Amino acid sequence: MSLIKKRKCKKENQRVNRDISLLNCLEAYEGTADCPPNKKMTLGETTIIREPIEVIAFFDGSMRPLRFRWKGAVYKVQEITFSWTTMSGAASILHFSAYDGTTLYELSYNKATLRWTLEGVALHE
Amino acid sequence: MSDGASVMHLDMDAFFASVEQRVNPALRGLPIAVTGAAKRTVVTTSSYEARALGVRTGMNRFEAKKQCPSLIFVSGNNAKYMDVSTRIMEIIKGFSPLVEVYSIDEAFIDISGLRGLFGSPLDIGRALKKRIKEETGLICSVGIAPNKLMAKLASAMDKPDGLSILRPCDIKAHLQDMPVGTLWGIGPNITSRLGLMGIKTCGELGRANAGILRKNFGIIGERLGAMGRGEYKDPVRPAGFEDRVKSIGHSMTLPEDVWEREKIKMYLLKLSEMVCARARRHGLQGRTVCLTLRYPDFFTFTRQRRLSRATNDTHTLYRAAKRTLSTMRLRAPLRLIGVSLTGIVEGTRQLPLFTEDKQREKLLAAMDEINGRFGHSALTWSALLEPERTPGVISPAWRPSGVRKIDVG
Ligand SMILES: [Mg+2]
Repeated sequence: MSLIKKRKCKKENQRVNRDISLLNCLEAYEGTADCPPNKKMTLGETTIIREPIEVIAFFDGSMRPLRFRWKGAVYKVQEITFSWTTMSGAASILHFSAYDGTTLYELSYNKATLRWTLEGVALHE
Repeated sequence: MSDGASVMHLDMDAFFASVEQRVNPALRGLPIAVTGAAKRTVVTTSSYEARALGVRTGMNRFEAKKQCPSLIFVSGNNAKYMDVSTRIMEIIKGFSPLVEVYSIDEAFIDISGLRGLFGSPLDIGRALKKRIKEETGLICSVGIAPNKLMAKLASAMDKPDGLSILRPCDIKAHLQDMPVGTLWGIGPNITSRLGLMGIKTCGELGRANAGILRKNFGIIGERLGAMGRGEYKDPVRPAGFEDRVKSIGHSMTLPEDVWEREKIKMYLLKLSEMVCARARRHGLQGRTVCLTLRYPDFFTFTRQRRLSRATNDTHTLYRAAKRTLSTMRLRAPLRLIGVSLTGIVEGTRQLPLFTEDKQREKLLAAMDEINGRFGHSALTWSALLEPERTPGVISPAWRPSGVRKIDVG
């Protein structure tokens, strides 16, 4: 096997492992408002997470999350598809829809506390 | 303006569904339906892919899925739509200060003074559509005409992504065979009453005898006739130029249909608190309490109760709403509950006579302040806590700012 092929293979394996760990993580969240227990998640449904995460972001007048760590796994953001702002009292919260090519994550950043939260995950199939 | 193109109506295409398709690339090009909060079963907006397969707003999950088995349901997120809406309205206000925000995804724009700045009305429409597309990724339809009624009609002529102009010389021919119900403001009720008079098309309505219309419809008779001819006098009313507020109200589509009186009362308290907080913020008080209820079949009715004096006190409003409810016999569970204060008076704060009243006024002012600081309903009457966790669906009358759901005229 060529070196390039080996690398590609390793990358794919990493990805599969990460997806499995994501699925395992999400299983613990079934039973939230959007996803009743014993029901397989389908396209369009979001599992609510609302947990703190660590984020590497790009700052340049505006802000763009690049990757984040949740439960030990690192997720790379491919595209911010949408962003919006809400207010919580006097604090404004920036929301980002982050897409990694297969899964959609909603991240939020509280401008007052400077903390990031993983709000939810929408799986694709 | 010489060609009479002075009003523009802008309408976002399949707004909620389009936002969700921007947010989630996996949903693009697929039939999706946006529903309300978690347990709500009614389609509020569907994507054009779903509409092509027969999905309509107002269908329940079951009907929609039967119509279109591949349909994907997405639960809506009001905060997201409100923020996008506000951004879109800001873009529009960059073109003209004379913008009337009509709903969360619609606006009227007075473009009569813009010609020199941005070119022809069609150029303005094109520029506006481009800016919105660039900034939000969303598409809209624009109609241009001599007045609001015709602009609203024009924006619907070439959806989605349309840009249409109705010139005065084309209006007569365009309306000639158009069913009256197509006109903005002519609902099923008026349509069927006109039908009984043998009036089915706008052409017939425009030619109808003014005396007969007045006899059948009272003061709006003449207005209806004019509408049939495509005439409409109401100007574009930018925020701040609206008529004086006549009522302040809030309504909620419930996350699930509710029978239990105790639960209904809890929603009444929450709504009373929302209404009164807003009234207090704007220094207004109301004399009459209106309770609006809707059954799952969309049958909607209102009951009123006049108070001994104008108020913006949560407990007073809640007690009146509760009393009104107690006189009613419900034939079905409730889908929507609304509370509003009408008979609005400004700055007629009566000096509270009793110490209890004084203390409550102080408490209310403090509550409003804390809620403003810590987020919506950070501090509230203890009985409110349960419905707070399941947010309802945004009312179609929602507007980005100011006193909302204002009934004018
Ligand atoms: Mg629309």
